[in-house]
Amino acid sequence: MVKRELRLGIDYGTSASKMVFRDPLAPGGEKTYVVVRDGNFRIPSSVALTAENLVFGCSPGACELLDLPLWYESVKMRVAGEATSNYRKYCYGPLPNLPRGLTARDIATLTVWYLIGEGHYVASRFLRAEPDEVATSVTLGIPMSFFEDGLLRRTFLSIARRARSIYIKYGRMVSGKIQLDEARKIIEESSHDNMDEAEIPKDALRNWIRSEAEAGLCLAVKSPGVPEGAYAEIDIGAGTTHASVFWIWSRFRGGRWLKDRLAFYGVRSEPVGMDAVDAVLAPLGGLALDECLRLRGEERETIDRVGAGSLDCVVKEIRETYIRAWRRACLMLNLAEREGFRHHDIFVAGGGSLIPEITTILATHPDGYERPLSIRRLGKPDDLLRTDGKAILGEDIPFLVVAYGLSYNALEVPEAYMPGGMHPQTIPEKKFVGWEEM
Amino acid sequence: MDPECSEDSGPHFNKGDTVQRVNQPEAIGVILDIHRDSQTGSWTYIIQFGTERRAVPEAAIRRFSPTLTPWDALEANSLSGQQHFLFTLTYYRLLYPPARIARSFATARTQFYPHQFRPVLKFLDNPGNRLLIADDVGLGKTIEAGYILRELDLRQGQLERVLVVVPARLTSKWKREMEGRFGDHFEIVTGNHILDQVNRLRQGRELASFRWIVSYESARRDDLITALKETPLAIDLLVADEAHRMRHSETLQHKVGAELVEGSDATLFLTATPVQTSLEDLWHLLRMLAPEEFQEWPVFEQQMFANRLLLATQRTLAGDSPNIEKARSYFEQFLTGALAQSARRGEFLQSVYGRVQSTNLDRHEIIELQEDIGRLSPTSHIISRTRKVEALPNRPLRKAGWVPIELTGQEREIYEAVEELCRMVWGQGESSWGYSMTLINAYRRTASCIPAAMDFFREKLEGISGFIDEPEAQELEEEVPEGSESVWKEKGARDRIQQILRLYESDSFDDSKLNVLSGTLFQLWGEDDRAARVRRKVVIFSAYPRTVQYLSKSLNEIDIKTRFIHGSVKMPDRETAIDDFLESEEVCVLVSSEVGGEGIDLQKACVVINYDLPWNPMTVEQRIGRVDRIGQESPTIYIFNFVVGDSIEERILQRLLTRIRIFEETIGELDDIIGNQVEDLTRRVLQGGLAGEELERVLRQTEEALEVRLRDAKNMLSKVDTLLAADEALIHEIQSVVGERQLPSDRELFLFLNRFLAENYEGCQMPKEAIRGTSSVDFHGTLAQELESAAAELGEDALLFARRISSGPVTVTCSREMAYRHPRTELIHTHHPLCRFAVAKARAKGLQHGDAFALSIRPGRLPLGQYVLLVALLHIHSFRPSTKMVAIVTNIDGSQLFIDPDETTPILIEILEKGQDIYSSLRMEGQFETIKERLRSGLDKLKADLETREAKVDQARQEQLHASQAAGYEFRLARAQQILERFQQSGQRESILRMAKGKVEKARRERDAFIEQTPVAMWRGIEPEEIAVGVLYVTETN
Repeated sequence: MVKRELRLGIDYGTSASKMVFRDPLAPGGEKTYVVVRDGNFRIPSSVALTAENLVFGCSPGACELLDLPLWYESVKMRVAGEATSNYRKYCYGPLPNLPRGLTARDIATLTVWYLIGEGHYVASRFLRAEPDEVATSVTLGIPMSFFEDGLLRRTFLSIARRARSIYIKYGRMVSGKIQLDEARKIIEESSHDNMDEAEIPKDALRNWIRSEAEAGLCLAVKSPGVPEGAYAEIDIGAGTTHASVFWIWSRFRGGRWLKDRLAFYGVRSEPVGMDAVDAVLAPLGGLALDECLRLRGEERETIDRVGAGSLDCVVKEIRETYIRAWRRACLMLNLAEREGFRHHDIFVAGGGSLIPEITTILATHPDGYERPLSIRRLGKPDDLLRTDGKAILGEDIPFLVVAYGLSYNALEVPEAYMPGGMHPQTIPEKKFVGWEEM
Repeated sequence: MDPECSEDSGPHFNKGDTVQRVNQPEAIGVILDIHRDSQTGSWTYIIQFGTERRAVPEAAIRRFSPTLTPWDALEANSLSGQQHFLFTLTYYRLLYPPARIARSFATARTQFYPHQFRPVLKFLDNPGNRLLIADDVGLGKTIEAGYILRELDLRQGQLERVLVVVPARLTSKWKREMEGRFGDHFEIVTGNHILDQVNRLRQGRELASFRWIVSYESARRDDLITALKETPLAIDLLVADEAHRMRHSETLQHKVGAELVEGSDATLFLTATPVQTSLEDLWHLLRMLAPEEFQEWPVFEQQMFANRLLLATQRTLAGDSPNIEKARSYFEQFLTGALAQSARRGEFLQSVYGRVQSTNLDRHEIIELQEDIGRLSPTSHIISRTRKVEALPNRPLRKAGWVPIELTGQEREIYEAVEELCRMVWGQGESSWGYSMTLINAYRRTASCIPAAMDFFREKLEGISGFIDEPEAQELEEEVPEGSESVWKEKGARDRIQQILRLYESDSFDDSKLNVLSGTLFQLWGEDDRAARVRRKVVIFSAYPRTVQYLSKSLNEIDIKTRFIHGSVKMPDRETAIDDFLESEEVCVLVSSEVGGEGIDLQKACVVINYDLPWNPMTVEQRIGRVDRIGQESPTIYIFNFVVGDSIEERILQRLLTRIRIFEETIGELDDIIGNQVEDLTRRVLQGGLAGEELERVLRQTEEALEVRLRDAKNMLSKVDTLLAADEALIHEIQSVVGERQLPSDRELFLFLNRFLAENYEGCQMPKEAIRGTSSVDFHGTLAQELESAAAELGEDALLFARRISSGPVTVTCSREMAYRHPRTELIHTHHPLCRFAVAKARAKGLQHGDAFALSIRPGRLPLGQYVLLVALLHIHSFRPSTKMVAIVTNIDGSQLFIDPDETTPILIEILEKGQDIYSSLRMEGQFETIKERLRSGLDKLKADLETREAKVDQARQEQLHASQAAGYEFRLARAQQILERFQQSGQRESILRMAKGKVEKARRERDAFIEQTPVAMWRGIEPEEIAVGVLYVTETN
């Protein structure tokens, strides 16, 4: 039997994950669908440990568990800390003990398995097909700084591969819950599979894991409204902010200029994001610190009430991430190139893009030039729909662009040159002067 | 590798194979590379689709197999989706624009108001090329004239000489409107320029091409009239605005107008008050326009009588239950009249009479019958009139109030000092017009805004600027009158102004008017806040740019965010200001001068504040008209008129404007009725010649006289309506352009072009913002080059566009309104070179496959179920060739067949607007031929019905049109001969005689060509062309 093939892009976020699947056989032409579960496209990445079980897809306060669980937050960052033995670099706050016999990487593997199962289940139901009539390939998004780091890249590649392998073998995790012993057994079995990066060709690697920055920019690069040139992308997620400074290149091929390469000159990830914003706002909004997540999505109203000044310290840190990425990019550029980069537009993604106090400050040039940088917003792609048939709102786009970009096959998205592999290049001169500038 | 569905077999396709997507057959591409997916183990193909390179799994493609007809595709279950359906229908509508007004409709930077196309159609139908447009004020007569000019330009090639004659105060407005709306550059000239052209002709030199605007005031000269009488100026199109100014045959305006009409090939008269005291006013105008038709007043009376009967016939046919009996009775009365007797034997008249007697006419036939009855009208072909109640049936209520400003002691002193200055200076100085204007201006400035006036006085004394500084000069559009400067040089006046300035500076100034303004605004918004609704937007008008700037600055200082516009605000800044006001919730106030706000639609505002009042009531109406227009959602428009308490303005202006109810209702062009009464009275009061009881008596008399004149004018105007025919068919024709989607909507056009660009020029697509807003697009690559190469076929505009895009990014929009607000933006419309290029390329490429679709809509138009749809074009080869797009729908079991366009057109529109893609599991193996046969028989029936209806009257219409056109050609020839004879008699130079002879020859050639080439019978039947078929699911869920 020929299976219906889908590509599932998983934006494995620090606090919430988003998934988009691409259906090449959708009526009227290929389409992408946001996986919506219980009316929400955000699936918590937190993992709860109860007396006997690991529970996935829940967040503190949002689900009722019989036992008082131990919550594991920001597992993704903990994996990085664990892999590099440098927790201070990646993790903030307390690190609750992991269940015996399981590492952060194992918990992440189980989470991704759970996510694949949910995505596959929602997709099959949407297509009115049996789960075994659908074949899903998976691309997991990771921060570019992780992708750049050989150790972290291998770690996350193995997470993606093992998770999918577990899914193929065991199917969907029932009720998002697994007994600890069962979890240990499955992890143990999966560790026998050879998941070494070396066997995988470059394109296939990018089909397993891809940098979030690259995926988030896929929509921008494909958008006709985004010309070749210098840009920055700042993705202000829940737990982390990723900043990258890059150039979209086009090449003259077949009589046309085609935007077909992304060259990243500087990237930076810092553990500051909307969690930090909420943590600052919570006491001012009359909430206890551990209740700060209740503010999620309502930061705008709270800021209006308590004043924008309260956010200064967090906003400064977020901007600092961008400045560091910029400085790193500058190190790789000669003077002329730097001039080419000077006036770059900025794409802001993630929850932070909805807070004007943050986006406004990002428009200030890192080198202090007076002319502010332009903040660009991405519109909704025509082929992006929700599985529940509801409309996708403009304010949802910053949260969905990464998953959307991940749902593309690596063979059809622009090749990305990573900062580690970059060497100074000649920034092309403008092909022409806009008539407004003449 | 852990392939989930690993396949041992090799790939089914090879590099270089041409394939198409299974679910999107129109996506045809070539395989570039083949990969095996490391996760699923299946084969993935890198395929080049147009400019796009995609990775597609094997199951999603198949070998390209051409399906030549839509039926082949349907049978092969090769079904496309909604996007391609939209593309296909847009392509055919662009290829065969079914609307006669397609060209002008598409290209102007205006909003679509159906009534504005009525004159275009009437003009096109009138072979005499003459039209009187007598719409109510504020309905856009300028735009209507612009549409006609555009239609002529596009049909006949760029007209060489166009002359617009308007009152002096409207010259700049016309220039701006023609440039802004139509991109036509007009030059404002004086009578001397026309005289120069006539002299040039006399000297035997070629006439220059021109597009000129000239004022009546500057053209009404004896020497020009004499010159034009001797040597008529050949004009392609003459437009006379406020044509009622020419109705009195003894006036210079009439004389110069008559001479210009004589030389023009096409003429438009525009007036909102074609009659004032009697219908003879109208007759004079018509006689100027078409002397051959309206030579005698008694004949005109007969024409009016005949027309009333025709109108009565039409009216009884209108509505949901037409009274055929009554219609027949009226028509028979018409037939007994002298006018009908002369045409009794005509085929056309017989055809109409035959149909009036018929008892089983359907809706379309009745509409056509009404149209044909209209053709018999002796007057309706030359007059087009739309009333405001007709164009704007649900107009908001206007609520107006006077806000008296109580001046502080200091202000009162200043105000009275300026009044006294006027009296004093007037008493001793000269009395030239410029001198008077300066004094009146000084007084009006003080009444408008004391701080801004003081600023102006100070500058005058310091000699910083001339009579009026630059912004003011542009705003007031007046030439610097002689004597204007002398006021500022007279010692007495200067001393007095110094004193006034000292008075102003002596104490900290408290601006009462500004205080009342801010109080009014806060009160308004307070009400909004209490009612928890969005704050109302307010437009504040002042005649003076200085006041505009002062108000904007002062309001901003108290945290009322404002934007301001006036004549000298640069266009980009003006655009930004208007955008901010319309789009931003924070900016609720726009301060504007007359010129700044002209032509701008501000219907998002519902409050108008007249910070000062113009003395011309038409300007008052124009201010309110910015807000009181189509699209105004508020049921009430509030108008606040600020007037200084116990002032001359309060005594004169408030009383007169209130009495003529200018704020409550729209009235016609009042210049002739109210004249300069306000100014004259004010001048007399300022001069000291009128005061106390005498002033009261004069005011009372003036009020009463104005009221009577207005009432009479309104009564007479209603009589004009009896000269018109019910233009139901024209209105239907216009409304169907949009209502029946005869032309693609902005969104459909955008999607069509983007698909074309995506397939051919990567990265050149337009962002979605371009549908309703503006967006910068870099049309790089080879597009410019290819467009330039195609310019020989596409026309000069293609070349210009190609050059524009080759120089860098351009800002584009598909919205005509946005294009007007942003004049440098490229308006992408259905007739745009890019569009024509896309259609030409698509046509040259030819269809690669038949177009069959699987679509779904929600129940409503059709009950739940599965249907099959056939979309076809009917090419009607008649004397007025046209193409209709029709749809035939049947349900699967064949129990229902929908062929009536009244039922199927809304279904088609619903699919275009709300159709969804759907998986089609419908298999019609056994029924395919039956369904096909059923749909085709439906199409045949539709075609046959249409043929019967069209063929029946085509011959008669053809004859009538032919006779009418022939008469037009004969008339033009006769007129050319008359001119030649006159020249010969007056012994004109050889070159002039040569030109006149040339005109006679041209007219004769055109007439002969018309008679020879136009066959009497044009009917060649109807040719159907099937363009799409599809499966249509009517379902609750998609």
